[in-house]
Amino acid sequence: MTDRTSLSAEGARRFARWDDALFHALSETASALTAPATRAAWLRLAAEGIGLERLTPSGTGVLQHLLVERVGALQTLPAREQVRWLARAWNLAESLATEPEWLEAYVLASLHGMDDIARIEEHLVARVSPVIEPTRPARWSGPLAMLPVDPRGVDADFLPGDFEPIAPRVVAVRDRLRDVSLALVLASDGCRIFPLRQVPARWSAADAAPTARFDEGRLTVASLTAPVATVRRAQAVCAMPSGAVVLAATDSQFVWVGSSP
Amino acid sequence: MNAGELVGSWFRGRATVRADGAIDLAPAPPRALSEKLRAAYSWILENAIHAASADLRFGPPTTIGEGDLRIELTTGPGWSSFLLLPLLNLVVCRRLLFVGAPGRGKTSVATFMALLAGSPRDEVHRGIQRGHPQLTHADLLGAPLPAELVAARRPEDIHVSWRRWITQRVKIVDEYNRIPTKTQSALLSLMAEGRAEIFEQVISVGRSAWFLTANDDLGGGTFPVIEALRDRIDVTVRCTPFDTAQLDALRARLERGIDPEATLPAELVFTPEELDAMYDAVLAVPVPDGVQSALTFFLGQLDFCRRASSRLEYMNKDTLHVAGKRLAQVCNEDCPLDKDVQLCTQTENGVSARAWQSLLHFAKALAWFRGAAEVSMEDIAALLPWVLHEKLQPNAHSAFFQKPENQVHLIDRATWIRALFDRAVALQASWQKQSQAIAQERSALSGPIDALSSSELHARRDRLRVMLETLARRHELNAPLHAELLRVRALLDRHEVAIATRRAR
Repeated sequence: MTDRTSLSAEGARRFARWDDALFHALSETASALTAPATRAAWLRLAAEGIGLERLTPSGTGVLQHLLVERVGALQTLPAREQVRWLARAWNLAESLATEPEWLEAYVLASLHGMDDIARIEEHLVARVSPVIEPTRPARWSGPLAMLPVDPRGVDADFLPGDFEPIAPRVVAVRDRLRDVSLALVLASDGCRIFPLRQVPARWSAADAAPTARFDEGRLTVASLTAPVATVRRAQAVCAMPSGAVVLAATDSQFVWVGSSP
Repeated sequence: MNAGELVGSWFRGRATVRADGAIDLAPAPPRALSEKLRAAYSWILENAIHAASADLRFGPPTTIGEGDLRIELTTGPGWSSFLLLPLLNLVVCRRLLFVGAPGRGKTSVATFMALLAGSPRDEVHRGIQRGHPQLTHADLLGAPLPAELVAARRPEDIHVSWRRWITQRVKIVDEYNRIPTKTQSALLSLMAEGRAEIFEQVISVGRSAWFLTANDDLGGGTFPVIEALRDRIDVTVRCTPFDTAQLDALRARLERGIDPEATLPAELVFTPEELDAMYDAVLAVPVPDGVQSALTFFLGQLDFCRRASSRLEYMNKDTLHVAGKRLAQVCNEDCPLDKDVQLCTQTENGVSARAWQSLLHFAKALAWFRGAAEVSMEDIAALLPWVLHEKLQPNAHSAFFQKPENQVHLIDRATWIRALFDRAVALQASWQKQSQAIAQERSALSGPIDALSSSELHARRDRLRVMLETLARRHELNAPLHAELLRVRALLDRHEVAIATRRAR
């Protein structure tokens, strides 16, 4: 019995959500792998991923990206490294599933920009560090330019309400009318927005930031004042110790974000 | 938080590379038990039973259509009672009865429950007790080996060869209404007392989930089921029709020779420890005061009969039945209560404490299954029809059932019981203003007695008498007032006893 046949039978025996058609479709991908040990490892992980619904026909998620979309790049690694890389990729996907969902989504977005799969750990450290590690507190010396970001690409009906800092450069924003939330990741290369099923606990050190106010078209944080011409009345405003500021208007679906040294 | 350490930790997990270069995957951590039970529900529904209707619905309802065609829509999830209630019974280890026409999947669902509990398939099928007119005690329970029986000098020398099914966690009795009356008594001992006795040898059944099946009234039973056995049934499940939209799935199953029982995935099978853990987790689900008081109100409505006696404490339907009377003989125009408003007129009988316990147990299980932190009114409303289905008899002669729009309730008992509960909730809301005032007054008079001086004790007794008199005079004597009067009366009795005791000293 081939690996494929035995894994297919085992998957049906073990898993409630086993998708045999998906397994056979995905296992075609493994034919690109020339090393038998790599191919066997790949099929084994694909079978487990399907059984646990980490690989689905809709084809999104960290495991999908690493196992399926990076299969060509896997071939560029030395044969003896390929199985090790697959094991690490599996562990990464499974570990991220236990992290807050915004972090999993942010890592997945970061993985799309990875050039060299052999340096995956360094790549992720470089992307995650600015978001989750506290930085030196901002001096609020300006300049502060507030730019609009549009959450409608993630949730067309989203109406921004209160903000809740959940990590040094991550703010949860609750919908004003519905029980839904989004995460704004205020990375140095731009703001990214991800859906949040549940708002995690407030980041305790956020209280060290000065209070932000918005009056008559001007945003004030500490001694810093910045005009936000397109906003008439603020729904909510929040400053982070890192210098990041977020603002929601009463009459807009946009969120304004900015950062001051 | 150090990003390097965090990211580094992500790459460590259950996937490792063995010395021979092959990948190794340690077993996945077990998923939450309620999630596993939900997965079992979905798998059986999609692969084996194909029940059409998700009749247990949650979330705020909206109704579209009118008259004969009214469709209730909800925003929350829905489940089929035909499959969900057996799963909950597996968890709470009580006694469930399937009723319905042959071929609707009654025995199949019960069999899946035994498979989920980890019994091998052959053992499950061997353990099914099939009711038939010749079924004897020995067939059901076992018997001593003849050689031992002949050789024995004392009863304790006799070794009974008990049937294996008795100690299985899941017990299936097919067509229990075809079992002879005498053998039903043995079954009753097992179900009621959890034990059986032959030649002074006793066997205990242990914690068990019972699944009994019976064909509907048209299918017929060979023997009438003894009342005590019927009363031991905690919940009744009505078969739902096959979902004709699933005919393709059934055809594919036939053509490919797929036997769903043989393909139940291993990850859905519960260990005995997991079953015990689920049982304990369900018991720990709290029942909020508001839910409990609504239930108390509802059950009080069913039991009350103003015309059963002239004495307060005997104004219940048991008094009527002991006298050999039916409710219809007294629930007529001589009773001043409004038959359109009061619920007491609709039911021939009240509900026993056993049924109340069953309801709470299943409601806790349903809340746990749904992932709720506590039992809600929705859980109670969803379960009441099935817990009371065989226990609550309608008073068909009631003015309520004489109305054309209510006659359908005599056919569809589940919908009637649900409507009855909804009406009780509305009645409780309308009674709430009065009941709160009464409860406040009662609470002010129900403090500890021992610390009271003699004059205080007498004063409080007098106030309770006035309260009782005022209640009886100012309000119509209906079920909610009856319950209040009994509470105040009990309080007054305590004070009278305390006064008498002090006087005797």
